[in-house]
Amino acid sequence: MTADWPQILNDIRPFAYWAAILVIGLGLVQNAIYALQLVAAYTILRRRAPVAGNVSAWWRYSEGTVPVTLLVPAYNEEVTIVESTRSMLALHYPNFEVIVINDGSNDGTLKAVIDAFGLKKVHRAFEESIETEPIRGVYSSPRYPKLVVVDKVNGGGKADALNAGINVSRCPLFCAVDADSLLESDSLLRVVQAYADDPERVVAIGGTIRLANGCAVRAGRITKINLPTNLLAMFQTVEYLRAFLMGRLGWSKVNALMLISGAFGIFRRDIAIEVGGYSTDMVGEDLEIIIKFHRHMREQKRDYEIHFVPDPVCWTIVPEDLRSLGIQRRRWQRGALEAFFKHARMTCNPRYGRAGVLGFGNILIADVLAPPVEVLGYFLMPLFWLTGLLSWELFAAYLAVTFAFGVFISVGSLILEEMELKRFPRSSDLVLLTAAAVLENFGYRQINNLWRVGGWWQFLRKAEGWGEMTRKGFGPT
Amino acid sequence: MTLLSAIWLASLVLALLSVFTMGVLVLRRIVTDRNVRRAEQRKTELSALIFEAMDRGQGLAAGGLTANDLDMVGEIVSGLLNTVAGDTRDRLINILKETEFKARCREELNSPVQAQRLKAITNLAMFADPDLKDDLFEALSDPSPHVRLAAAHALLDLDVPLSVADIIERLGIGVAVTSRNLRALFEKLARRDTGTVLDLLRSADSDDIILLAIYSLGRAQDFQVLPELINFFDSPNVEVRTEILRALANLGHPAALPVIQKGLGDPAWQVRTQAAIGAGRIGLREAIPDLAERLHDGEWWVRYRAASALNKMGPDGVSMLEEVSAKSSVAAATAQLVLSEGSEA
Repeated sequence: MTADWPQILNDIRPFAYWAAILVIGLGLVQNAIYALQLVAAYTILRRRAPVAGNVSAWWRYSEGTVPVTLLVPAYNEEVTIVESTRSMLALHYPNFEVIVINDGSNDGTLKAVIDAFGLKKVHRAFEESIETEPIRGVYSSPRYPKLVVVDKVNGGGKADALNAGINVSRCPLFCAVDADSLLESDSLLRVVQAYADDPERVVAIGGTIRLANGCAVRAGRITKINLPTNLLAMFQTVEYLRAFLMGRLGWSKVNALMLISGAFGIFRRDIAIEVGGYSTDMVGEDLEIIIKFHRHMREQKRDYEIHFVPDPVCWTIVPEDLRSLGIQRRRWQRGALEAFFKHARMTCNPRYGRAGVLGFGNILIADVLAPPVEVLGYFLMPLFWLTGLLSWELFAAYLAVTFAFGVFISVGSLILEEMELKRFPRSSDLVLLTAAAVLENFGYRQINNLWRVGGWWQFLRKAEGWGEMTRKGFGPT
Repeated sequence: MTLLSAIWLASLVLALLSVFTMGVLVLRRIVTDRNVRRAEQRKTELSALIFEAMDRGQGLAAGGLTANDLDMVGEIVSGLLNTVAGDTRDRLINILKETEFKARCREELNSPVQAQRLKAITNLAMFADPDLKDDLFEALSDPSPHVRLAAAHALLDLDVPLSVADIIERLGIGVAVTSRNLRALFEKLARRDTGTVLDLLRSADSDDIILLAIYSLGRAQDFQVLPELINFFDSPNVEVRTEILRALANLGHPAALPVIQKGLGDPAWQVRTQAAIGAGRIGLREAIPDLAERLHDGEWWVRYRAASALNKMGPDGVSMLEEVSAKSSVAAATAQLVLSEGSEA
């Protein structure tokens, strides 16, 4: 028996049509959201009042500051922990402490930090406001009065380490920082300003993350800003620029910011305790704690704001090989899905205001639906077009939402950066970044979506853990 | 044209337009980079001239400098002023006076860009020149609360008498301005004229203003404010009671004892915590029995602060802590921790 191909094709024609409509429709909605974010980010950047230079920032901001604890969870961070701790201790800020939480590392993290700073085991009184794995010891040294190292039993991941840090902290604000990150010396001063301007309502603030790959680092400071030489890292430079400058800034304008990066965010300690701290049963703890903040404040009918400030910068090293990047992206996707389904009742629920309708609505579109739909489109749309099931017009519209609008959004955020911030020092950097902003839409974006579908699969299989990633230290001096 | 074709065309146009715009921006950057390099080189030369003039104790030979050079001198000197004091600062200001910097800052007070107006106020404040009074008064009506606040600071630094009512109205305190920087402004006011801020406390009808007044009176270093602060402790607002205890702790006068003792028995844990901190900071030995009682408090922070206060009271407090630590209770656990913390300090 031979297959009746014309008949089969005819039968699936309606399916092909509606599949194309779904893929194009979702792509259009996503691109429209990005375009609105671009406009919102532009208006915020135009109105902001930047203060140039460390000294000016000190005079302008230091009077209104409040004590801050930097929480630095460290699990097997032997390579970077000393450098990043030095960088944090050298911050320009009137009153802060650094708490490094060694989460039962099985490399030399604890020894490295004890040796580098001459620490001794001490007693420190603290309340167990949030339940955590046991703390084995607290270390400090009179030579570094701002530094405290907490050694805890491994378990509960980064979230549990942060919770232990929140317990030990004694300041009204805490700043969660990744151990493989470097803060610019005045970044704390600048980010806390949003809280100082409105201490009653501001409950959390995020800052910008930039890539340290390729930059020269000396004594915990970025001494020369360079673009990464690795292509994957270059694509991520554009990606981070788009996510922070356009996405976060845009959402914060309408108080629907749903994510403050785990690498650099300021939180009110009392509210973090009220929401029970970071959740230890999921990998997207940085996304979930912001969702918990929104949910808690809305349910309590309290007036609040969650801000994003573009000027303060935290530098971080990103993966430069496909394997590590894939692990990271699958984990991010799994984290987003876990957080989404845990708080699914907030989705488009007017009870949760803009956070529910806009913020959660966007998570539904961008993190839940988009990856599988877009990946489905990669395979089906060309196939349908080649077999004549799809008209050229539909296929062209598909190419528009998948590639051409992507180029516009990526290059658009680069235009915004150059017009308002000019943080890339050389004109040659701009040329390379423009090329990366165009090229990332032809290959990198598609691989990324495949990883995200992998994350979906892990979520459905209820996979656990973070996955092993190769750590790369900061660049040579 | 169908909708689908329009989508395709629009996407292509936007993508090409964005790449073209970026190309223009790259070209602009090439030109500005060259100008910036030249300006940096000139700034280095001008910095040398400025330091030379300071060493000689003379003015800058401004005759040979262009208007652009004078702008740069203004920028360099205003940057340096943030880092120096005394004679050096005065000499730098004299150099700045030779330039058109002040006039330029005055012009920038009318800039449509908030950041420029704010920068202009900050720069003008460095001159401490009474001639600037009118400009700064005008800036008190600026649409931006940040600019208004900066102008108020600058006026107070110039010793210009400002009425508290005027400041509250013009700055929009409690409405437009909730910044912590307001505290610094009111602290200056209270140090200059405690009576005015006391009057404000008596007449205030908003908790924001009451809190601001209490905060600044606590830093006024004037014990006359004690009775008034003590009277306000009957407020039903937890924040007000906590702020009063914080102010009393700052003033450090033993007359605060009755309020501290009352605070240690307050229903709100924040107030009890602050009372314990206050007892320790003032060193009120009479409060030792009350502090010992608070070691059994249900709130960890109250227990911790009470134990820390006892630890600061000298032998009497420490022996009380040792006595409690020998038993087995939550109080003993806190006492032991604070004693061990103290022995390591």
